[in-house]
Amino acid sequence: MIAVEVVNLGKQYRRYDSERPWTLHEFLTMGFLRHRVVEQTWGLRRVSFEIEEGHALGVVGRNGAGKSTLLRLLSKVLIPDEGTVNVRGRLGGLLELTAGFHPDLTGRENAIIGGVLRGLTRSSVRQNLDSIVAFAELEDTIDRPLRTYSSGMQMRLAFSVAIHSRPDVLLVDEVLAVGDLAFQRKCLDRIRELRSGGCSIVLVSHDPVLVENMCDSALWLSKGEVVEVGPAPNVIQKYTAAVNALPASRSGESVSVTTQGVVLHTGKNRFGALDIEISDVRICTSSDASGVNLAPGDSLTVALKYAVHRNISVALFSVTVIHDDGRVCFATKTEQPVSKASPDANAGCITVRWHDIHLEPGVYFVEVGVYDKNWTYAYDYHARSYPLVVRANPLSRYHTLGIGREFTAGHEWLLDAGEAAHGQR
Amino acid sequence: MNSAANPDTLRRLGQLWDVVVILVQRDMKLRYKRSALGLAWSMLNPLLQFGVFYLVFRFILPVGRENYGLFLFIGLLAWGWFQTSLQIGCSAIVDHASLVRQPGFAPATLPLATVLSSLLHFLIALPIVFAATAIAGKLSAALILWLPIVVLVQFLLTLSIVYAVAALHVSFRDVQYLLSIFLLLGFYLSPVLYSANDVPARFRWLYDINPLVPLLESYHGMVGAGQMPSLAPLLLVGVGSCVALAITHRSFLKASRWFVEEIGA
Repeated sequence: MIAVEVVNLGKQYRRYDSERPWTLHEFLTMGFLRHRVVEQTWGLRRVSFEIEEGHALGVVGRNGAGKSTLLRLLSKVLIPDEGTVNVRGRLGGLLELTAGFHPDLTGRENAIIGGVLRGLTRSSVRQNLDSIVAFAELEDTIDRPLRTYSSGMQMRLAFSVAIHSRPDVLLVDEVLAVGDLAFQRKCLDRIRELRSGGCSIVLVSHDPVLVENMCDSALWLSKGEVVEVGPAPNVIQKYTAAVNALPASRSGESVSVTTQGVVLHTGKNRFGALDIEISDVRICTSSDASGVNLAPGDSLTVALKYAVHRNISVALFSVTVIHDDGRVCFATKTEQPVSKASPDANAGCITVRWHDIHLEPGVYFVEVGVYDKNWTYAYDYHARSYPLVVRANPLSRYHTLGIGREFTAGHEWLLDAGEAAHGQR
Repeated sequence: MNSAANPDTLRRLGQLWDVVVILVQRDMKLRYKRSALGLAWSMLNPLLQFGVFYLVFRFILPVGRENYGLFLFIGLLAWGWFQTSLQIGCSAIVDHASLVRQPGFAPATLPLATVLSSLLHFLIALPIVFAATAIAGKLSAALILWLPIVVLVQFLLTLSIVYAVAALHVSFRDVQYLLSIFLLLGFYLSPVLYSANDVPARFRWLYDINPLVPLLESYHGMVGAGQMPSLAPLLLVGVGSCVALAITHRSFLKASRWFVEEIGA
């Protein structure tokens, strides 16, 4: 059965000869005269596809290709200028996940609000509340105000609410770039589960590998028009080839190798659009310059080299140490956006150093990320690429002395020379 | 409309009602969450306003009306409900842009929730009115029987205006500004502080065209003097409000198709 049918869809954007918004005053005194349409551009045109029940369509394309316009047309919050959209059953969206949430309300209150705003009744949200909380792994904090949550916890709650609204057709925007890797996997598993229950998925992503893994078919958009639509492997192969052939040779390059020889594979251990790319990560510890072995009391230095590929002037960085089981041990982020040293600088370096680290013996990973100025979107994220090994040491008794499983005396951010003032201790 | 008995339609209406309920709850919770004074806080603004006007019109420029305190208090409360609904309702769509962009969200719930949550504040203050009326010895059956009907008419009137201004404000961002001027003038041109009977005959036409006049006069009569409202004007406003609501709600629904485009990304 066809769940989504899109026929010859088109959406125009109009530019007026005067800046909007209008005022009623102007309108009443001058009528329509003041605002003439000077330019009409097609944000999307001649798009047709069908999605079978329980199938998934991935939508790829560069920024401005019309992906968001397509999602809004499918959501029916935009009216097409041409063509039709037919959706069978109830639409759900993993779009603007935290819409309706308020920082002063508790996690529980926000979950109820979020669920009802996404189309559930109050009684069904209450019935599902335990399962929503359990999926988000927030049992201990659900009655605390949302403002005490980390951004990752908020996303987990929001995702969990959205996924419990039991849609027949689920629209997914690039939301999975946020949150830790373990939770991302859980989300993807849940989306697969919904799919096998008959829910159809439209997944918009910058990440061709994710689309290839998750979707049956794919739609490649460029400048509002369909370049290719068909089985996911075929479309993605062509898309990746085309993107790699770009003269700038950047975004979508699916495999790259850092100077340390670490292989970064987009969609496997690397996520994001690479508008800003973390090109090199150097890790060293007091006891091991190659940065793999960590002894108790070591300092840990993580230096990120980044390259800016688009005209972006500020960004945020995060560095996280996670245990192999996905538990976050240390996490830090730049509290203020980091500005470029000079307007035309397109590369830089940022370093974070932890002092006097103690971790239980085991395998850990350093994860690094660079985000847009609101933390909503990762430009680049390297997951589970840089291992740290803490060997059992009979002389080390810190973790039995009540210091806890993990301890550090503190950390500091160090920036490129000339912009040290933006850092955070 | 003929599908009212259809279970899908009923389910959809039930869900929409739940949306309205949680929007109102959210508003109430937020208002009282941080303030230790809680409910008392919502009473503070009308009480202060009342205090100032009472000082002015009882002692400085005395209007010499019996039970002026009660008269003034109910007038200010009713006007307050009207004014707050319009002010907040006007920007309700623009303020909740991220909700309006959610698939399946019905924007028409936002103005309704605004008017209802202002109504709750009005209702919370009513016990004071009842107590004061009882103390003044004016508590009457007319008040208790007719108050819900007057409140209902005011609700319909307010909602019909809020639908219009909320939709207009999406396209014309100066609506809120114009509205605040209109409300400021309206406050003095409506019989809140005084009675419409005090208005000289040559200005009476201004009051004949103001739909708030029968409502405010009803409140004043019921609370201050224990009188039953005069039915004809109230009925006229009630019927007029129903017609207006049908028109503005319909126009709102039509306009709402373009909200996301107007608000932008």
